[in-house]
Amino acid sequence: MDSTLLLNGREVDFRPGQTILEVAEAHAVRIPTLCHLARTGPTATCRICVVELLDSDILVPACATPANAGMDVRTDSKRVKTARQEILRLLIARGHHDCPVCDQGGECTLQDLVHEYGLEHVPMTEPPRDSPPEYATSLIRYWPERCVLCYRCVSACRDYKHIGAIDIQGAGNQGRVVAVNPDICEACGECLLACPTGALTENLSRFKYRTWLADRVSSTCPFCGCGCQMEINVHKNRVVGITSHEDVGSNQGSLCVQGRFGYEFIADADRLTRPLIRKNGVLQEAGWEEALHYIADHLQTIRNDFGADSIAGLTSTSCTNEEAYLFQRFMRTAIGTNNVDSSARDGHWKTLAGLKNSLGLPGMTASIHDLYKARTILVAASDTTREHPVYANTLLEAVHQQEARLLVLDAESTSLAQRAEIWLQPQPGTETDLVNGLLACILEENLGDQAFISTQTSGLEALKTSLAGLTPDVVSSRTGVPEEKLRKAAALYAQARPGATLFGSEMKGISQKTALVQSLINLTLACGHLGREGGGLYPLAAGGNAQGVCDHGVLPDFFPGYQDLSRNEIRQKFMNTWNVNRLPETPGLTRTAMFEQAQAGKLRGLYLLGDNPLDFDLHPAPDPGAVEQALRKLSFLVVQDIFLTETALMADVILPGACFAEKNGTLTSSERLVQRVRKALNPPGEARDDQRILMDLARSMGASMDFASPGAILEEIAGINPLMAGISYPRIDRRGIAWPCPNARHPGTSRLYAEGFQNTPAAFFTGANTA
Amino acid sequence: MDTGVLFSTWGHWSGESAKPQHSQFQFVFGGNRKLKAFMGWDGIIVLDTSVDIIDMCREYMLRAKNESCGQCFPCRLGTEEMSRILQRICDGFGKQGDIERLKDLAYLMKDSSKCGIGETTPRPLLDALQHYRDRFESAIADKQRRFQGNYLYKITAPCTDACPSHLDIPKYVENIRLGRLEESLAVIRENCPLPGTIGRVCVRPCEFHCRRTLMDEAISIKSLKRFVADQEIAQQAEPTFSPPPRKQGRVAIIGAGPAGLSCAFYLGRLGYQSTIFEALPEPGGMAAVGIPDYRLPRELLRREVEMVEKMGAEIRYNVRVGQDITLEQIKDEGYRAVFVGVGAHEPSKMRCEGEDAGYEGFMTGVEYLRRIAFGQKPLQGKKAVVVGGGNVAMDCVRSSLRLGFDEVNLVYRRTMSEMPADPVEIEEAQEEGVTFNFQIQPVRIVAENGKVRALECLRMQMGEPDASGRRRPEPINGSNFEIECEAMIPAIGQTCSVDLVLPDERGIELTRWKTIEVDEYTFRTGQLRVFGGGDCATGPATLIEALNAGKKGAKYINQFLDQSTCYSEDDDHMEKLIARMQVYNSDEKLPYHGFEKRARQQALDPARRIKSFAEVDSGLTRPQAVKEASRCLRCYRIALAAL
Repeated sequence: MDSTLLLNGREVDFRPGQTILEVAEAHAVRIPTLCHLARTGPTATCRICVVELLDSDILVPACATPANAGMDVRTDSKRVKTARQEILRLLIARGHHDCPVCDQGGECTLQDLVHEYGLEHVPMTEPPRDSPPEYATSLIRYWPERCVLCYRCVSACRDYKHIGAIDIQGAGNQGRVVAVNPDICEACGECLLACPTGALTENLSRFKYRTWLADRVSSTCPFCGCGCQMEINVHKNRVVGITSHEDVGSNQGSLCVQGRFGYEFIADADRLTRPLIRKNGVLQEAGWEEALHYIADHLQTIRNDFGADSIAGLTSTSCTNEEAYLFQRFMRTAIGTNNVDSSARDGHWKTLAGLKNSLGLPGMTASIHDLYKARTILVAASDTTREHPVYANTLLEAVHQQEARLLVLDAESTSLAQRAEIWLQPQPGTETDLVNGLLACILEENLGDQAFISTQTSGLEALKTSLAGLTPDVVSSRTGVPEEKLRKAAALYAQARPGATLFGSEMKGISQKTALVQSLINLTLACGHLGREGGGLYPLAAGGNAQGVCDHGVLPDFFPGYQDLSRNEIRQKFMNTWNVNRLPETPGLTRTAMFEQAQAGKLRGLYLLGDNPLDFDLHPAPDPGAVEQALRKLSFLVVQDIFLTETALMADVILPGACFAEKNGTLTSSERLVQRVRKALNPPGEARDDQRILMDLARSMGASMDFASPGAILEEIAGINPLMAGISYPRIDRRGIAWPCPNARHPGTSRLYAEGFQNTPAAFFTGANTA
Repeated sequence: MDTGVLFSTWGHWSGESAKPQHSQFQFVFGGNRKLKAFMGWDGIIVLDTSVDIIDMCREYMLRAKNESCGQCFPCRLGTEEMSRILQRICDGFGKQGDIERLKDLAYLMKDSSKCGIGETTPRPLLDALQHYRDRFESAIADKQRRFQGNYLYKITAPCTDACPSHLDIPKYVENIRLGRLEESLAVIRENCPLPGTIGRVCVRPCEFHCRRTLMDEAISIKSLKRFVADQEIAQQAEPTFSPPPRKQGRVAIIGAGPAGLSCAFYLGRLGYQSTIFEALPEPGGMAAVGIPDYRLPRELLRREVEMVEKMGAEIRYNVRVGQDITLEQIKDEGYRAVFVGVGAHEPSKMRCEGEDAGYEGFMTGVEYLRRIAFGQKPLQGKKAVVVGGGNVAMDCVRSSLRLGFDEVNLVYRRTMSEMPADPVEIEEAQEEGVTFNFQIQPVRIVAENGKVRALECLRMQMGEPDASGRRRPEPINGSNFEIECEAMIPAIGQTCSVDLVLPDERGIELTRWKTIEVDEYTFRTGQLRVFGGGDCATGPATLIEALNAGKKGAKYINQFLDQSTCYSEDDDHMEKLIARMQVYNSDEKLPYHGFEKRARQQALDPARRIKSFAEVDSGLTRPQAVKEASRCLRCYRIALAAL
């Protein structure tokens, strides 16, 4: 097809449907923009991107004008430049742009354009305001006199986040950004990111630094499994802000309120700065050598008296992969026990175990961006907007812009339930019945993907038997979901292919998490929603590195990479690498079992790396009193953390660790992307990098576990964990790689089972193959 | 001929074809005030030497500034700056360089703005700067304050102008794009009280005057209107009207059809209670009994009528004015004014042998649809023939399929391209399996034992152009043939029967088409307190025209009750004047082509939908609607008249 046009006299190709701006970008011709937001339809307010068309008596905006074959486009003619200059002149004149004190100075699109177009001596007419007007969130300040009314913030809030908390009200120059729905503002700061001037500035504290004075360190947000890429802005060993870029990371610049504004804890005065040892019942400051030897002595004594299995270790889900790996190696070698687990036990691991049993690999089967290609999206028992904000953004973008159909299955009303085409609201506790009901309906009416079922799966007949009797009317009366709604949902989910299924790992209020996950897997398999772009199972990890912690062996029954600890050849491989003569063969205690054993007096020593079991908001326990009792019964408790938590207050020794911004390492996101965190500042006082603490402690115990750098740890991991074999620091310097990555040339695997389940068919779960 | 035009640049911006005749420019407003000059999207027209063109430019730019929505920089900032300069000149403080600055700003705005306001507003200013430059120069040199003239102002758009009720289409479409659905619906309700109904069955003149057509395809305006109306129902939201202070006295309305309902709705918004006298047991008039449920579900219509009732209307069903009660009696009951909004329910004659014979199996389209609307199956058999080419004929053929007729033939005198029915209706009827027979004239209904057996027809061909230049169909002699049928339904048009409602009213003039004579602006009849509109004033016309008539009726009833007098308002004159000025120019060349097809609603599968009267179209999804709304070019045009 003849799709060429003249761009400044040069003939260039384009794809039909591209705008002039896109064509210019593709051919490295710069057209300046101000209001343009790449992932929304053109706002076309600023007209800075106007270009000249031969034979047209008007200029046209490059961002909103479709390229036509044979067009003769001039992007930098005198007429174009004059128009741009004139627009900028009017803009400056109508505002009050106090660049010297503006937080955005040096990083302002308007400032850059004025510089580029050489404007001088423009008088400003808008007087500055005395008091800033109210904004949707107090975390952001709005400066009307700097606002050019470009609508970027409004579009970002509405079209990227699908919130719509702000809008511009008032006609013409009276327009102001107004919080039209302040109640629904999530304070995510998407508007702040979008603002091309200093009209929106961070309001945590002002006058902290000038933009060009801060060091910007690329890192990964540690707060949930989204794996958002961001930059930590540091000035004088203090984090002064978080920035992000639309073209970096799966989050495409989006962050949530925690990611963007939740950094003040790093400089909190209550951070632990020195090791503490309980002496005569009172926690007293101590030196590092003293503390480490104190711990080594006590753990060795317990081991000598009661055996290695009377000691256990737990991590939180926010330690790095390297720390997780070192921790389990420490427990398995220096202590000699498989009693190692994490707070992912009752959360993310439940979903991973189900995936592993049915499909083979314990991880999300696709990538976040695959959601753009989904035709149906089922969100089951997950308040995704809160748990995994960026996944909620993406799926809503798929719904709003790609017309994906949204189904929500949740007993509680969530923000997504309110926006769903069909919201299935089962009686609490009947979620699994409902999923099985959908499945039964799909199989009964042959709505599923027959070809996929017959070639890729096993166990269909057994599954059918297990679902016998689950007719829509039975399911309807059991779950309270109207029969017609159930049928409609079944037909939609099965037929609008491919379909993606998201499920949280928190699953608040659901007792049979594993059963629900298995049913969701069955549902996905029956419809063949696997291995194709847009289909897949999306377990959303609670906790920043829940996936990585599990991947790297902080599990009582698996070595790193989910390798079987009962198999001799595997144990031998680890013994060689870890340079030890024996490794414990029997699975250790799970987190739950540890507390039971402690309460029973059988577990005596416990080492907590960041885990805070007494935070029952984060780790709901059926019997909170029992957990506290268990901790009390321990004869020796070590807590390594950055704050004096409730649990730390019960410890015998407390080691001050470092937060994510104070160390190097990697995190693995829900979509299995292994990404870097980088040290941006030093930990406070004598607090230390957790990797170093673990290595030092191992040495005090007489074990050797020394690495020159976190990169060296990852090298060891790559050598011993086939999923990670091709991943190294140099390779993930700029962008992460998704495991499995079998060799150093492999690009990583963002979509699992793309080649199908050739050797081992995916197994329908029927209750026989329990996790 | 003296056209009265002293100077005109009108039409040169959008090409000669857009230029109306100069004789069209003479215009008289109420109170015998003559149009002295006009400024708008296509230039300047001057008809009187006393007009101060500089002051007119000032007023024009001030209006433009207030109208500028602020969504693009050149218009938002340019109108403000230009307005400031023009004000300065008129105040006697003009500066050297002002003219050049105005010109630069006008070109910037014209060249680089986003919507029609930005693109067309600078045009008359540029004309003025060019042709009246000496006057601008002396105004700056003289430093005299200028006298402020008398102006009328109105904003329009091609779609808005084409709409009989002048809905602010760009505004409500833009509100959809911006996700402001409630505001969008509020804008619609300013000029249309039945958005869900009109959003389904309007004949959509707006879409046929949509400027986007010149780029790729017209905006799906009708579907967008339906979308916002449906969203309100989906959200189970009630529209919020702030009720005005209740006014004294009730108004009687004859007919709960579109005109009557609209009148009641807007009277309610103006504070008046009303009583509607309706002959049928069902509200909606022709919208209820003339349009089948698969196009306009009755539930939806009833809900919109409920809203009218909430505005202060009481509907008395099964009251046939003229039989059960007379207009005099109504007035004697103390109603302060009456609005006659009777529909055109009388079928026109086919002039075909046997149509008055009362054969079993013969029924007029109006009667047929009315009976179906009341749940009957009025005709039996397997084969049906419908005669006609309009929307009623489409409703009859498609309803027949739904009633179980297997073979449905449509017979039309002319060809497909002359059919007045909505192309979408024709397409959907074809999908459903209706056989179209073109250039055929019915001549005789063939009956046996008093039952219809067939329709005898003649083939037609197009004749020579007549005096009006139009080619009329002529029968081909001897081409007679029969189409077998058990049911025969003529649907070739309706007439009014307002004489039945108003048997002997003094002061109310009836035309020979049995319609009432009303004032073109105020909708008042010859009788002081009686107003009228809709089909009974225009003859069978569109739903949206009837809604407009009801709206205008309410406006002037209010004026009459407030002021005891009735005179046409300037705004309505402006509407008429603007309509003469060619708001839509189908020959306009846009600088580039677009590639975005208009949004299409999902329709039920034809085989499935003919099994019931369930609604065929499912409406736009939200993403579809937002995307569709963003295709709007917002072709606003500003008009200023000097008096």
